Amino acid sequence: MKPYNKIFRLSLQQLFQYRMNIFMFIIFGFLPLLAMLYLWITIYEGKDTIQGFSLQEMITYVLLAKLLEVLLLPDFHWSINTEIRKGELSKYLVKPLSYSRYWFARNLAVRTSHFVLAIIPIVWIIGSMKAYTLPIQQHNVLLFLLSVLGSFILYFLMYYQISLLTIWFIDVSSFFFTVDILLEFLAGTIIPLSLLPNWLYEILKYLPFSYLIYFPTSIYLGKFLHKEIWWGLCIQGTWILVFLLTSRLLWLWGLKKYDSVGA
Amino acid sequence: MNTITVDHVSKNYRRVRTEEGLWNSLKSLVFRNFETVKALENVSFSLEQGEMVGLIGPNGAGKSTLIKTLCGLIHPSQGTVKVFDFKPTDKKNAFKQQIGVVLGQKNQLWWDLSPVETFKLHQEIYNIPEEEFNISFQELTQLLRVEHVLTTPVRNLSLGERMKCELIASLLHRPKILFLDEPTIGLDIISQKKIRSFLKQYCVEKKITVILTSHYMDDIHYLCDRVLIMKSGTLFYDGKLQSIQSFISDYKYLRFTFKTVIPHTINLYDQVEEIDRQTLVIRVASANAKEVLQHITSCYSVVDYSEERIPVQDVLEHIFSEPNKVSNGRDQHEAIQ
Repeated sequence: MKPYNKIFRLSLQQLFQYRMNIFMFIIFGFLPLLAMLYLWITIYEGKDTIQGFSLQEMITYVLLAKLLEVLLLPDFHWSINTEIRKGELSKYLVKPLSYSRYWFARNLAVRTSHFVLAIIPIVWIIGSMKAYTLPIQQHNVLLFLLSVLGSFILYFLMYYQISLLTIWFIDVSSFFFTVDILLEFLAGTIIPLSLLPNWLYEILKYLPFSYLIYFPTSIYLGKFLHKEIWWGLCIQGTWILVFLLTSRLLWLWGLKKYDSVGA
Repeated sequence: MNTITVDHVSKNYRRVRTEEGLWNSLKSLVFRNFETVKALENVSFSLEQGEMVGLIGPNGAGKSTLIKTLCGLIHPSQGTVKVFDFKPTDKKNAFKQQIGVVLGQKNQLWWDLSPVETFKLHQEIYNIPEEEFNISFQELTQLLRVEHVLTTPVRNLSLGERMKCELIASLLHRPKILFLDEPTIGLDIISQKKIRSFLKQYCVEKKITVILTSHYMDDIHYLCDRVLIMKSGTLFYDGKLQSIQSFISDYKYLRFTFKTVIPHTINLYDQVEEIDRQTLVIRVASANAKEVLQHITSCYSVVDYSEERIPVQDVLEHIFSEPNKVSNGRDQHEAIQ
């Protein structure tokens, strides 16, 4: 694990050279959020709850979902895309190094830097929205953190696999944008998935997407019973195992393809 | 025991063929035409530990494909490659520990950080013990004289400094084989020379097997006792660089220096290689050389003349520009020896 530890530290070092860039990215990432919050406040005028969500719960949901997205959503697929297109995969393949672990370490570093740089805006937003936000119940804290960890790994594996598709399709940028938008919706970053039609919600419960954002956020809000949480964690874990396997297969298959086009 | 054994290796790959015109572009959305490119064809050779070999050939001759096959990046379509006891495409870590790769046009140093950081990362990747790392590090940085740039971000280094650091990064783990794909590309003459003499000194001393591609004949000339000439995927020649002069031994250069401006009346015979006010170099068939020499020296006032063998560079040019007869390189090679 030592080289990956070093990769993590080097990536952090590199990222903090561009701290201003990341900081701006985070600040402006929160801007649309303000519009969302005011929209919800307007919608709730004259109503106590919508589909079992009080205004406070809704605001907390939207804020937390966005926050988790800023902290967990990977962006390394663009880098992998560039690397593969330029034929730079070769420089990793000749070293005793795992490409997926390399990017896991780098992703962890980017996520960490975002976390550090996001603290100030987060504290500020929470402070100014204090009347509207709810705290987490103590008995859910550990389960919440566990589900966030699961989400982090799930996000990584999904985006890693998407990145590898570059080997087959050279220009995938519009595909990447589509995936980003679709995932944002299906993960429940925009609205709680329980607001969707019941049949859709029932399907989404078994797909991996809802375990990215909706699941941890709902745990935070205490929307699930303990039994439901454990069941959810099992599904999340199962998807992680499935994706570990498929990303391994995709990698081996991709290498063959990379080979056949003359690397 | 051979370090590298390449046995009847061929590599074909498919390439999408697009034809001209809008209609054909539309058609290719549905039907794709593939053509098979023969990147390597029946290549065989072997190398011993410590040999320094130059791989030369025009663009698209298969040099890079060959290097990638040796590093394990490409599976041969036919034939076998053995490096030590490994099959490179198994991609065993023990194999990767033995090789160093420098791709002149790619960059393995971390762009925003200083070279030392990449070196330290390589220490972790290759699991180099601290003491061994320090010795190699000292030795390499001193030999290449890069001590002063070690803490500068890579993006601020000159191309020459960067290339030297690339070399260090590829040598820290003491590989037994070093693959160099155009290590001097784009460098000024002084940097080229420094890198060249470093490679000579270091790799001979450490008995590192070196496979080098370069478009600069000086690199090859200075470093390599043996060259492999690739031409359209085949190994056209395997032997000493000097010996390729005998390839077109049926031709010679005749160099004349005239007392005055070259007369217009002169019959230029076969082919003019060089001409200016008073000197003329022509290529003639060896059989006619004497006759031509006599004729010119007797008819015109020649100050000086000499017979020359055709220089290596020109022989290569001749070989590369010859139409692609799918020659059996090995037969040709044996014919020379």
